[in-house]
Amino acid sequence: MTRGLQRARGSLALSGLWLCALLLGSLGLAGCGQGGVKLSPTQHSNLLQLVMKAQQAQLHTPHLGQRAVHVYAHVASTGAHHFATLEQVATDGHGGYALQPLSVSGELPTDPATFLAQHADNAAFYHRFRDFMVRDLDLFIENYLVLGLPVSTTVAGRACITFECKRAPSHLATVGGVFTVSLDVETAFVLAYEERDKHGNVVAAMNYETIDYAADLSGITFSTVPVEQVLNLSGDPSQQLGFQPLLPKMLPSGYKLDHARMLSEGPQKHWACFEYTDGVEKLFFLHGGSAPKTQVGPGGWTRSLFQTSSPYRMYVTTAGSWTIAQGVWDNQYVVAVGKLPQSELLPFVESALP
Amino acid sequence: MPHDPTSTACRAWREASFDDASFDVEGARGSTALHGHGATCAECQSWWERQRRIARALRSVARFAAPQELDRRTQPDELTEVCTRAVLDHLSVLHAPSVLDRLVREEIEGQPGTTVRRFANDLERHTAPAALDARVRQVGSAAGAAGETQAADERAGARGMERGAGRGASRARAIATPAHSARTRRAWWIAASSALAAGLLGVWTYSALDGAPRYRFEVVEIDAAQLREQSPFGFGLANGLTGGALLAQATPANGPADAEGRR
Repeated sequence: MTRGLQRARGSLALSGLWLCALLLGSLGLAGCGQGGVKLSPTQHSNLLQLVMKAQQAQLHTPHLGQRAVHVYAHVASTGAHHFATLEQVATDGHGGYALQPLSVSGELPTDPATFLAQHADNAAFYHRFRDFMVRDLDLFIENYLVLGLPVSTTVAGRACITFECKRAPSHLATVGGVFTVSLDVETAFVLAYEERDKHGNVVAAMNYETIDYAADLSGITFSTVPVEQVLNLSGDPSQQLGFQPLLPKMLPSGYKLDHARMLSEGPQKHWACFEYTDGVEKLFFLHGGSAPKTQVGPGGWTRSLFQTSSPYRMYVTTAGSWTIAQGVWDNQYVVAVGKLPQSELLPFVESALP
Repeated sequence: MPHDPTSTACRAWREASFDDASFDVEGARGSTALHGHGATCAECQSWWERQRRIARALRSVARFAAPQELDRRTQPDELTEVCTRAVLDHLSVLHAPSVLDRLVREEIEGQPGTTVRRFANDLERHTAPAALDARVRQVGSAAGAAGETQAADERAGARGMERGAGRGASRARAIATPAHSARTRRAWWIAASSALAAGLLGVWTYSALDGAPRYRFEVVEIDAAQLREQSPFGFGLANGLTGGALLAQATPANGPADAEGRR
């Protein structure tokens, strides 16, 4: 008890120091106006250190907590739809995770039971890709601006620093909006974030209601991210895939290749999966060779979609800030998904084609 | 003494014998070519018979016609094209001088003024009618009487309409040119400039409206519901990234369905 109190006092003192240092260090931001400034080691050393620590902290810091995840779908014909999921989330600090939906509320697209089941199926995806995360510090510093002054807040009883960031003005074509992020001053854990699109509409939000960094995790069954077969791009990836993968040559502004993986759905049925990031956002390009894809995803590819249509056709779907392109190029299956406008995603896809 | 085949007489007789008609006649013997030097020179007689044998052997060789494609390719036009291409292929690539870049840039940046100026400069120049010329001279003379020399006014008046130089000529033109002519010319300029500006504006508008990107594939836009129905894989991937927002977009008709599914 005494030790716990001392730890709490130490933590409080550390948090206070952090707050003072951050607020003092951020005074330089006062004159930066509404346009925002890039994080610089000289001007924002404390915030920069916190962001640096936050990189990947979400995946590797052991913790147990409950959080509410809000999703907003803005449909032109019917207006905004909102639903929220209460999740229990835990990580063991070694790559293991446990993500369990507890309840849902709001305007659900399906019945609650089905929705919760789908949520459980997508847990791995949500854990890695759904929430705000600084995925590449260099790119984040290069591509993002910090807006205004960081402020001190409290989330789930933890002292936080909350700041706003958005893509730099040189990338206005990108449709991403503004993130408001709350970082735990002590652990740099992202305890809350909110994303608004370019029109100011909230499109996603998450906030921890409870969090415990020293919880007893012994009773929790952790999953691990599926073993990935890293594509050897410097060698001959066709030996892994059975075909020479198409690789985009013209990337959207600010993006870089983050991971190259092979996804398998059976013998001789592989996908080359290239994952790009601009520091925060994700962009995927998948090439499935010419083998018909029948087992990936819940229902697999609908062959008639591609077989009966043009051999050079791309189907494009726009959902909020997201654009999904999929199709065939001379019997080569390709998919691209990213938070980019069509005018940026399609040249990206086209640059991969032979 | 061996006969010298390179002697002048032998060489002259052999060269002349090629022109002998009997050389081309199969089986001709005792040709007239064997008269003269050939009748007395054994070496040349032997040479003569050897040449006839060679000629007979060559005549017996079957002829092959050239392929028609070859004939077609050796047509003058084709040859010209091939030669031109070959020459061009061997030419070294030369870069335009940088001044050209600057001139082109200025031309583009100065639109539409530069086009209007060029258009105006290309207009045909009309010479003044003879009657007008005479009036100019007359007025020029009057001006000379007022204090300037007659010779200077005549010279200036003569070139006044063409060059507009000389004080006397300027005055003369100002007096002699009818006012409505100047107005007409000004109106014509304005009309031409306006037409050009309108044309350029039209071209620019057309280019801007037709600025849709061109891809090497056909683009078909489908909504979230169609995506879900047609390609569950692409839909699942995007739905996972959007945290389920795509599913909400794909089934807007089902919502709202407020629910509490607490486990």
